[in-house]
Amino acid sequence: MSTNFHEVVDVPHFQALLSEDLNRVSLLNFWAPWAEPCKQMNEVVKELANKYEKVLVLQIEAESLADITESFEVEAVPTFVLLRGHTLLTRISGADAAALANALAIHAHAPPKALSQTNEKASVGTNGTYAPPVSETPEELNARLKKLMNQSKVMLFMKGTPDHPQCGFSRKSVAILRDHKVEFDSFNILTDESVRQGLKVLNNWPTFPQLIINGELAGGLDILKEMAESGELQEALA
Amino acid sequence: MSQQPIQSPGPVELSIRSKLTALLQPTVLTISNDSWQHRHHAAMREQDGSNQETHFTVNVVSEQFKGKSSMQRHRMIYAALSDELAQGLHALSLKTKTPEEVPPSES
Repeated sequence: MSTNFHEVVDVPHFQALLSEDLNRVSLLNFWAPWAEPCKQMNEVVKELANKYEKVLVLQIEAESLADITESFEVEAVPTFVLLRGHTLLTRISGADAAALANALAIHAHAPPKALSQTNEKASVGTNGTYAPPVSETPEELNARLKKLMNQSKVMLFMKGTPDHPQCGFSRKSVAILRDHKVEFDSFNILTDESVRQGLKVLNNWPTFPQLIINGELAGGLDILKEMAESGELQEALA
Repeated sequence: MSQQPIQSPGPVELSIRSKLTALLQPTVLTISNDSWQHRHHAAMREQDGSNQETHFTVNVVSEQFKGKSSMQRHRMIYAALSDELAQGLHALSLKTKTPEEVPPSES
């Protein structure tokens, strides 16, 4: 019986377990007994707990621990949140065993230094899904960021997805773009920590959401609001 | 607007005020601590959650903004607050105007 797996009892229990080691990776499994996919995923989680002994695995019954569920803005089960200490590494919505196994394969080793200098290449997921490189040089990261920024005429780097935003500012940005019938593409920075941190540095802008027009930072929510009101937004896209 | 417990400014708010005052000599500087609205994040933090300083709305009126685009104005503020942003400060809602840009009804 592994000692890294815990069923969370209450908030103090949760905080105590996390705070034991702030360099440790934790996997949070938000589940509910009435959701069929959770039964399978709970088994998957137990296997992963055995495999990755150094990862703290916390099983959280979403409805009885509503405070924790809310604080992670979890809206559906199963949802998996991967943390290092208190820092969010990634989150996975839904019963995607492959994505979960992948995420652990990427993150569950020695604490990475940001933008590490090794030449290790990406590991391919269990069914051939692409995983972002475990470590890339700053140049490689910046090249990847520029490519992402130019993916579409209007790109929104946000928390969550347009249909499931994970933050009020991101939600409002999507609403404004949709209200003004702007075609845009988006990237969920919660799924990729290197993009999240790299973009802050590249664009010299410390917050998200970030609106990119024609490959260049236009600003955040406040500026998007101003541009929409003044008509500057339509001009920029004409 | 939801009810908010009245609190005296914490260290981050005081720092925002002193840094922006020094940088911009503003004619108007209002800072509102919105962290309480995001208090559900508090379950993740070690602090007791009573005086969170993670989300602020800052309204600045300053001559120094003249001739600068919104992005440039926001960057000035972000640069001044880079230490705070590297720590607990998580989000800033910014309104930046020059005295000439403020509608007469507000001045």
